Amino acid sequence: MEIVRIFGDNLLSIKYETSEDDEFYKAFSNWTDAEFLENFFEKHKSDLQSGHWGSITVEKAVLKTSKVALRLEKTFRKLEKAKETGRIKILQSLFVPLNDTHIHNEEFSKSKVRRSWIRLYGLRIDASSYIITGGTIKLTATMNEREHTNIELKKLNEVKGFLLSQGICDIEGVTAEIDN
Amino acid sequence: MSSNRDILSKLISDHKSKWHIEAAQREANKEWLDKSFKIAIKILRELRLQSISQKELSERMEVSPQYINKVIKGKENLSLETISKFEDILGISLISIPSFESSMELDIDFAMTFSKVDRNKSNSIVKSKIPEVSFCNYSDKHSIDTEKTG
Repeated sequence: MEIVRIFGDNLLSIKYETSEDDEFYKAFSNWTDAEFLENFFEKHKSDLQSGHWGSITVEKAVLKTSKVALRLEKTFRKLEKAKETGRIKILQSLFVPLNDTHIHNEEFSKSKVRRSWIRLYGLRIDASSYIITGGTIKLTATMNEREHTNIELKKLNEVKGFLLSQGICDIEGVTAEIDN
Repeated sequence: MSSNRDILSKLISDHKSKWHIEAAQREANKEWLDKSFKIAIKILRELRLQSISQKELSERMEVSPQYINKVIKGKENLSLETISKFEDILGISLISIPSFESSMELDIDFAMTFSKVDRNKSNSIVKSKIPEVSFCNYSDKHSIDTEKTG
């Protein structure tokens, strides 16, 4: 795997050997692709109507994803142009630690005031550097419930293992949340 | 002992992310991309409903499958001719133009009945529907700005 620079040393992304593009690029590319989204929501139609987000049609879910993604992308574009000190501050508020409760505890996820429709996952290397490992659309309360969120967990652990093997320590799993 | 940042710096590759270019394009073209995206959703849902493949659609449209793929991703700046062709082949409406016919009819009705009704009362009715309309003569009424009357 490769580590690709998104901006400065603050935001980086993983590019897996099996893919032509890095995960940060892929997340925004998929979230703004009507064909990808229509297929995704058709596949997860029962989750869409399960009540975690209320009951929502495939059409509305596709539109909502693109709208939220473009808003998140706008934030990153502003950060790219911002000075490093301001940029780091916003990155620190954007990415929250991903702990066991995000993964297993349904009640915790349900009780969270801030719930995000789309999620970027990554690792915090130090107070100012983040590596994106992937992104997905979160339709259930916890991460370990569905294949697509489980894949993100596996990727996160794989990259963490790689970084540890390179001598990087004190790595923390994070997720970027955006209000819907 | 090297810090996390030192080790990380050595691990960063020269590979350039395509995100910057595409994000800038999404921002610069957001108005028409938004419309293209909504049209793509309607086409995709109709293809699913009618069990039509992208390949079949490309044959009926007499365009390449690559072009259809770009359209259904919501990333194509479509011409009115192409939109009309999609509408015809799929039997659906993809876009609609705010109608000016109803206000024209109202205007003509008004012209015909103007002399028969109370002038103040009819003025208030018409003003609510057709701002800045002139009541001077019939030919003036055809120059109504359709956007304001839609």
